[in-house]
Amino acid sequence: MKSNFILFSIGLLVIAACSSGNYSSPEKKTPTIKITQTDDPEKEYGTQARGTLSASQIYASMAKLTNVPLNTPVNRSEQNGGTQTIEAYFNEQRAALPAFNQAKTLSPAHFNAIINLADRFCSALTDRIDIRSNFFDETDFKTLETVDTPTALFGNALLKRAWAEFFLKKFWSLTNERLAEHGEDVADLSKLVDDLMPGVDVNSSNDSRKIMKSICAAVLAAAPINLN
Amino acid sequence: MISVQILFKALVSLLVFVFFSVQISALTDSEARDQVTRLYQRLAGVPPTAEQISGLIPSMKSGNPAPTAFEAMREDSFYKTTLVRIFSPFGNVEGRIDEGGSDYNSTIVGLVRDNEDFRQAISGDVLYTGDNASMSYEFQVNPPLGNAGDTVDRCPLNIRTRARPQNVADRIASDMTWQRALGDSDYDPRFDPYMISINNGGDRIAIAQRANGVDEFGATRPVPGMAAQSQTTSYPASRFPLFSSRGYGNNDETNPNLTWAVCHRWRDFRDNPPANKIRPLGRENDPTSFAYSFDFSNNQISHYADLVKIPNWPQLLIKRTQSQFYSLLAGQQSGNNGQGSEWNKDVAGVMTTLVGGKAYFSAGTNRRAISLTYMNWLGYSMEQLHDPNVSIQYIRQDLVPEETCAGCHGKMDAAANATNRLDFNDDRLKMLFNFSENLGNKLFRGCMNHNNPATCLRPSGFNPRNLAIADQNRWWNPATTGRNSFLGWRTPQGMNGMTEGVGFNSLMKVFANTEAFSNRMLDLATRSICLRNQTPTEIDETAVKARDFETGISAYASENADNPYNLRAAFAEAAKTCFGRKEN
Repeated sequence: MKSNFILFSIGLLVIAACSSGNYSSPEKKTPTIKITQTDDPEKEYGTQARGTLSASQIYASMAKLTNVPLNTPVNRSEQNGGTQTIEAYFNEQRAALPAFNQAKTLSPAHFNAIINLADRFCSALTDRIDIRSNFFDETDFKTLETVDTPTALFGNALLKRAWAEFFLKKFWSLTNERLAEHGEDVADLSKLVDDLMPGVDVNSSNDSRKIMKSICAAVLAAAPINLN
Repeated sequence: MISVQILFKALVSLLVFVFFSVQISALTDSEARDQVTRLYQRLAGVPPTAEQISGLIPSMKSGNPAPTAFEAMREDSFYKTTLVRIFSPFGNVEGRIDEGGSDYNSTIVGLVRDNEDFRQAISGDVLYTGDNASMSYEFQVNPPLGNAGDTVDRCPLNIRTRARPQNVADRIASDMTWQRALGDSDYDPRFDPYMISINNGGDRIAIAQRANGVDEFGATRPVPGMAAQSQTTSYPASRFPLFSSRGYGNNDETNPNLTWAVCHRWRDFRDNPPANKIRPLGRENDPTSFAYSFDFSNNQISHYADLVKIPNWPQLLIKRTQSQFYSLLAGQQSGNNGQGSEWNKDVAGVMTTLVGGKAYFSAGTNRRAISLTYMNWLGYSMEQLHDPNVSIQYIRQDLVPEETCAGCHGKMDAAANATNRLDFNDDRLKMLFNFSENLGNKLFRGCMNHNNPATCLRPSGFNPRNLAIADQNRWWNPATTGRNSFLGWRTPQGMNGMTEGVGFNSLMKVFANTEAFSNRMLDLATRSICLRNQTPTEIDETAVKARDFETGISAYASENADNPYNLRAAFAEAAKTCFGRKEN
């Protein structure tokens, strides 16, 4: 990398020399027009503007990643009763999600709506036994027995790290090799579990479900999925 | 004489240029992975899998984003979200993104999925609908619909019996059909493979599968895909106690003996098809009424609304012949096989669908069809194409062609004459064979009495009624000369010219054959991928790609996308504008 930089610098110097007045006639002084960056019509040549997924694309992405059927009824909230299908929730809330693909159109309200939608998908993943057993296959959370308390599932750094990596691989399409590049993300998710633990009953497996749903929603609503 | 010093300078410059080129184009693994993911997401609307990313990195690193683009375009969500988002705003006056089900969106999606010549989108005799299998379904009779002793009341649906129309022969002795489906490849709505039959003897109800139907010429033909013999399943009357307690045969008589259970079940069936089924096109408005009326708009809306509820709906679309479909509907509507009916036969892709008809041919003066075609499909507003030197010969009587107006209306009115027989009214697109009162209102706004040119704002203006009947929808295209010749007008294959013709279809073929149309398709694809306007240099590069798009790009043969005007190829080419290279 360093050698590339040196070569690059030398190249710049050579170009500067070639285009300097040393090689041109001193009598031919043509007026120069200063082009600032904002005036340059080619400044975006070959570049990509930053983007976001639209409402329907976010919905489709979450459906693909979680593999949750869209007609799955999920609880409206942890506190209030009643259920609503994910599809119905999306149709109700789609106006709150991004309408356009340009990232510059995003507002904080959009992020709220995205995480709320992620919460619905993650509710289905963690609440519904049939869906949970499929998604969490080969983990203790698959069956969520009474012994699977927050202490048992998230009680030490290794476990927290393992769950963080589980979700990153599932949702961010990461391979084992690439997980090393996401050390900070793993640390952030571990910290999220730490932040959640004081508010839960460490002996209740139901609270393990709540923690799992939170980690799931945080990863599913994150930028690597919804921004590009 | 060239000095050694200058030669040396040139050599050094060349080396530096090569050095920078390599620096700019070569992506690292990490950058390539990032670009694969981003491009895939922008086209498909969903993220790629880890395996897909790994497989696509080498081509992206080598500066070729096309494999990633094609891989993304295999996702259903490319059609359901990205493609629909790009083109659905062209189907309404407000330019609104409409991701709901419609004949407009389905036809766009079908053409792209099938690698069809995309000029057909605005000029083809084509319509995409749901497939036959999804439209055919049986009335579910299990569990039983009613029980003896249920409350007897009048059926809210007013289920009636009536004599079958004479031109729809029935192979099964019955006085009642209740679903008319597009059941065969000829799209004849009268070829309903399923029907419910009530035995006049009063003891059985049959759900029958017909083996034969009668075509529009009265000939008996087998229904494709149906068994050679009718398969009739009978259910004992005890399952429909009140249904069968009385003989039928009186026309338009409300049956007082139907139970609420039967009625509700019947209504549910009418309004809510089984899972992954689509209410058929060509269905009578109320199959239980036998009024033989047909609600084009509601029928279309319910069909496509059901269609898009099925997650893989882009895969279910099948191609129909639009004019034939409308003709058959006309036959059903009028009972005279479409002869002399008002249904449109001058079709032009999505422009003459239900959605297109509402957008372009309802109310107003039909000029909208021309101005929005320039805007949406060629990429230029009428104001951008203002040409003060254009002929005012065909400007209508409702306009005094001052200089500011004439520059647009000179070409717009001349072309809009092609739409003189098209009118969207009563929720359907009609083709009018003579100027009716309604069409007169469209064409002669500004006249106190449209039958009297002297009362018009400009009596000397163009009046198509002065032409022979066969020429009353003749169009002219003065934009081919003068400043608007830059649009790249070319005579379409099979036509004699691009400056004059008859009918809307031929006019739209001329529009679809311009260089501007191809440039616009590449521009739309580029914007959706790069998420910004193109720079001047990129516009020049896109024009070159557009010419390749017109002839077909042989490099995409393995993707079945090497035919002319293949829109998937356009997306793959557009991806090269901002992917597969280092960003500035």
